[in-house]
Amino acid sequence: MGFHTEDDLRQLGSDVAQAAHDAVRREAERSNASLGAPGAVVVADDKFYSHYPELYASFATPDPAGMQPALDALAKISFSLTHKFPVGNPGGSDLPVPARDMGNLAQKEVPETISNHLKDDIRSWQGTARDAFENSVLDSFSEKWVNQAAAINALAGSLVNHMYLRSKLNSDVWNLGQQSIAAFKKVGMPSWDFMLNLTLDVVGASMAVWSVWGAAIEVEGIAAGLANITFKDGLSAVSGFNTVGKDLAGDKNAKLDFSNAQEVGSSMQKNLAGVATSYQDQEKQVIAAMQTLSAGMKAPDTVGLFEFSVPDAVNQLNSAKNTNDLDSEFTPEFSG
Amino acid sequence: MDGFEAELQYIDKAARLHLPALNAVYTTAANLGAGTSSVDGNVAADPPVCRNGGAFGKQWQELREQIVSVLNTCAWNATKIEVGLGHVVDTYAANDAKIAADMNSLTQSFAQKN
Repeated sequence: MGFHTEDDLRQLGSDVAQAAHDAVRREAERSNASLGAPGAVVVADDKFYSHYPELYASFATPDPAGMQPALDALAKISFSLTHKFPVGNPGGSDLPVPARDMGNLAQKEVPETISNHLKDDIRSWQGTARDAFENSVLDSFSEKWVNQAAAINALAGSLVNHMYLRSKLNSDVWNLGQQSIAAFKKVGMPSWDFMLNLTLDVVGASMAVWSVWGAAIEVEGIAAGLANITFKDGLSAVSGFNTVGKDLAGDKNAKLDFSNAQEVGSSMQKNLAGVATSYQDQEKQVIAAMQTLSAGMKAPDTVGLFEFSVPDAVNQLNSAKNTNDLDSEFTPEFSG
Repeated sequence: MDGFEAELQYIDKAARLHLPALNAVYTTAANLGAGTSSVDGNVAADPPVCRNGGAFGKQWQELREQIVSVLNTCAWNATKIEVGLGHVVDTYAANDAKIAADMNSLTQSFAQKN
């Protein structure tokens, strides 16, 4: 079943309300019959279920498939920095994955290769500017591009998480509505004393995502020192991402528990509230991890883990008026 | 070609081939990253039932912008170094017309590769 739109959900809410209305009518008819007054009963529409269409519509979101172009673009950025596909094969899961079409990026060199060329280019030169270029930029270059890729993978992983949660929210609400209709239809029928069990796995959704993306971020990030971004809470940017969802492990069984139509309605609303809370709780963890990484990329003492700067001596090369000005700055070791 | 010209060719290669390639990697990456803003509306559109709707979208956008800023800085800094090293080549080549002509020809061949 595809993604359900706002109109789909509103219609579902109407269908649930209709099922509730019929259940209330049957209950009234059974009650009247037991009092010796059988016959059709007219039920007013302003009952506990009249808001169901808007209740279901309030779970509507745009189709998360609309975020796919961003996921594909982030995969391309990550690939352009490492020539490694940003995420391991999720192995048949239903997680959103980036398109594998990297365009012509495979023909382009990555920063690591380019920085090795640059080291070779300046090998037989000497001087203050030349040394500053090698020591301040080239020698620590691998730390930058690995951390950049890890940050981009974290951004992409966060998006996958968001897309997946959206998708789970949509299908869980849809399933809950269908199950509620089934439950209402049993009310007032000859044999209806049973309990419906419905499994809502929204709670476990983040775990599935981070078992894939978390590994990619951890391997690349920790190796390059991304974990050095420490904050007051003692958590690193990487561990922040790798703990996402771990305390929410395990599926939660939702139950529609009832003995009359009103209780079906209360139980349904309680479960719907649980779905919304679960969605928000999982988002909070990813939001906190992104906040930590974002702060680390801005902080003056850690921004250097991600970007290289231009040494003053290199910046000043442009002001040399003749070769004498370059004698101590940038000059060949051998000249003949 | 004398030894000095051969050495100078290496710096020309750094300035006119490899640093522009580094700039291109980061410029492409920054542009791709900035382009993801086209989905910001979708990302932020949490269901109305959520009280803190849009919180994910806001933080995701902030992290994205921070990453794009880093990529842009790397692109700009590659160009600054490129300009400095290019000036080194031009300064040395200015002393010798033949070297200047050779460097110019070499630079043009690099331009076709990038």
